[in-house]
Amino acid sequence: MTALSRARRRLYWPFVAPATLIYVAFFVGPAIASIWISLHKWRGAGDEMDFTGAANYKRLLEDDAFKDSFANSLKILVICGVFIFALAFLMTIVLREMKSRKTVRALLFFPYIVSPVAIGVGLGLLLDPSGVVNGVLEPVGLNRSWLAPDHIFATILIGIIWVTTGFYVTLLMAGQERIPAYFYEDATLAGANRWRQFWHVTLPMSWDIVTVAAVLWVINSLKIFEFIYAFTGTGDSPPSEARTIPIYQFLMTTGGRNPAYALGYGCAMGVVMIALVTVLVVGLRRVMRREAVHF
Amino acid sequence: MRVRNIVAIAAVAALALSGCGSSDSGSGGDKELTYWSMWKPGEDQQKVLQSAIEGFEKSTGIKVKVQWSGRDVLKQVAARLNAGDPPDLTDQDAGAISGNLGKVDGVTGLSDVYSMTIEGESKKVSEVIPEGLVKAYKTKDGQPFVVPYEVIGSTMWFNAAANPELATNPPKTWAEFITVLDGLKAKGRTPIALDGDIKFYDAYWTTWSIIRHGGIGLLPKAATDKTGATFDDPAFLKAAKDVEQLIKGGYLVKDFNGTKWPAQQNAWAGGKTPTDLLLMGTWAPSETGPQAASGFKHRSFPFPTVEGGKGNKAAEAGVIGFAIPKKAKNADAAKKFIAYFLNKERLAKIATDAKNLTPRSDVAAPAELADYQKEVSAAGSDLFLPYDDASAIAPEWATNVWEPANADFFNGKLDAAGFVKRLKDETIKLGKQ
Repeated sequence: MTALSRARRRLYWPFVAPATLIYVAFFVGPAIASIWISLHKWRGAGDEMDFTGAANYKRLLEDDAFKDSFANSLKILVICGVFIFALAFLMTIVLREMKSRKTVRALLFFPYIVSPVAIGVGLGLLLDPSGVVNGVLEPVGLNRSWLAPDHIFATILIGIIWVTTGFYVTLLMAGQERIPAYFYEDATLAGANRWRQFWHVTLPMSWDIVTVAAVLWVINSLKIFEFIYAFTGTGDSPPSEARTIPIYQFLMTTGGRNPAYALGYGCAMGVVMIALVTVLVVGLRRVMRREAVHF
Repeated sequence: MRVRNIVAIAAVAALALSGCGSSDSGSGGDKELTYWSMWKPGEDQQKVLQSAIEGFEKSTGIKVKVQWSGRDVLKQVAARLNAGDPPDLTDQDAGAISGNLGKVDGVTGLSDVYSMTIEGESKKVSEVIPEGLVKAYKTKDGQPFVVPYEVIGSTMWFNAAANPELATNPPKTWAEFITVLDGLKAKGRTPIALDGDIKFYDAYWTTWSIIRHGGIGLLPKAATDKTGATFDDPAFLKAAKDVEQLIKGGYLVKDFNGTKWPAQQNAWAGGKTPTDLLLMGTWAPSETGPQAASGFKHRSFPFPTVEGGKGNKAAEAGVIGFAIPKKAKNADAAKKFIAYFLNKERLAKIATDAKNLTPRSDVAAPAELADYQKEVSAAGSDLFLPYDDASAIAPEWATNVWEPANADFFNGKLDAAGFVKRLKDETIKLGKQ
């Protein structure tokens, strides 16, 4: 062993320990605590924890309100995901050769940086039965009661797509811009139209970015809370049609008009969510695994 | 060896004694107290309390360390309670105090406050606070743990300037009420304003109707009856039929379920929809006041009575009040402050400055709440809480059974019988979880 590697070895723990400690204290610790709490009935501060084993998990299986919330979360993941990525790919195709593409990209990104609370409240006003949106749509007969229980979830899906698309356009365009221009010149000479250029050049050469974007979407979509809360929950707890897992978790713990303080139950939902994210992300990475294209 | 043992024991004893001394609240010699409040700087109630605090500090020499925390104050108190270092005094809606602190045994029984003489008066606290207001808020040993300074409840609001006949001759029975509604409908109006996105407001109607037909206590009983059998009480179907009459009768304002609160109540006050009545909490005048059309006069009448009903006398009255967390170090000073604040002149500012009803019947209500004050005193001790307290007793039932069923009922997805059946079935299901 050389002197250098000995010295390196000596310094390994002093360098790694602080980060490890912080990670354990603020991430691993609470995560383990959540799993532990999920095995109890507990009302929080001041209450004694009552060990109930898997009862909270059993209850999740029987709770229709949870099942509806779970289904809503998956609907957001799949329906919004398909639309967001379709739109984002379309934008990268259309915007690639556009002169003012940076401006357009900034405009598309804009809703993402506005506070979701402001957007939620603002949309509520725009979508009032006699609001601006219906004013515009009435002449073409598309006006409807956007916020009524029958339509509210569809309205939320549209809202999420509108808010989120800009972020993924930006990500995918960043991936596309790394690709040297001569690939596209070559493709053009070979007679490939924009769609074929996208299919044979853009997609394979920015595949790693697409994968990262997809993983980010899976995680972010299941966590969506504030948009729905601001949209439906400022006056009262969100209606059952609009509840997702995090919203329901909030209602069963400290949120809403009648907080239930079922913290053990809430933790069980958290554990289920982490498990779901893990399964989906691992599955997704496996499906999307490709040989990296070097250029 | 022996000497050392004795020294050790003495040292432990001294430590123990000094420990007692610092946490003892029975001495009455507290020099300060910590108060975390639900109000935020600038709110009317905050100003009233602040001026009372200044007077209290001057007259007693006790320093009040106050923190204006806002509505989430009890979550902060609960966290500190767990750490063993709670504030000495806090305030909130009594239902919230019960849910946040009462259920974990985190409040102090205040029987001794009720037997204290109010500062500057000869009356005791118990003589000015009606017992009915706090009967739901008792510790395990039967002591009340809240001392209220504000009374809130729901009642039927209207504009006396536009509907003078409702002020002189309010409908007393359900039949008279429907006659009034039909008269208004004939004039092309949709008389009932309702922000239907708030299930709590939909459920005002069903709760009131269940109270009128079945009496106080029936709803929480049904909510916690795992067999669901309580819903077979005919009062539920009768109540649901009455409300169904409103939903299907075309009395509710158009798009009541397609707008976002407070659109409908503002439109009611501003005269922008053809609506006349709003079943709403006593905060309606202050909440809708700024939007009200000029000349608007907030008046109210009690929810109509029903034939053969068991709760025809009842009125809704919740309270906002003080509580002392368990383990508070300066509980005595906090108790003194409560008795100081309940003085008639100081409490009266809650009515004059903060425009709210106080629990003292000898303090005049603000003009808008005079009808409600009469309604409450006529009810005697027949007072009930929002959702008849079912939401505090069974919060998961309220969120997962009661509110969604009300939403579907008002949105026309359930008829009266379907509404009761849904409540029954879902209550049984929840009971099995």
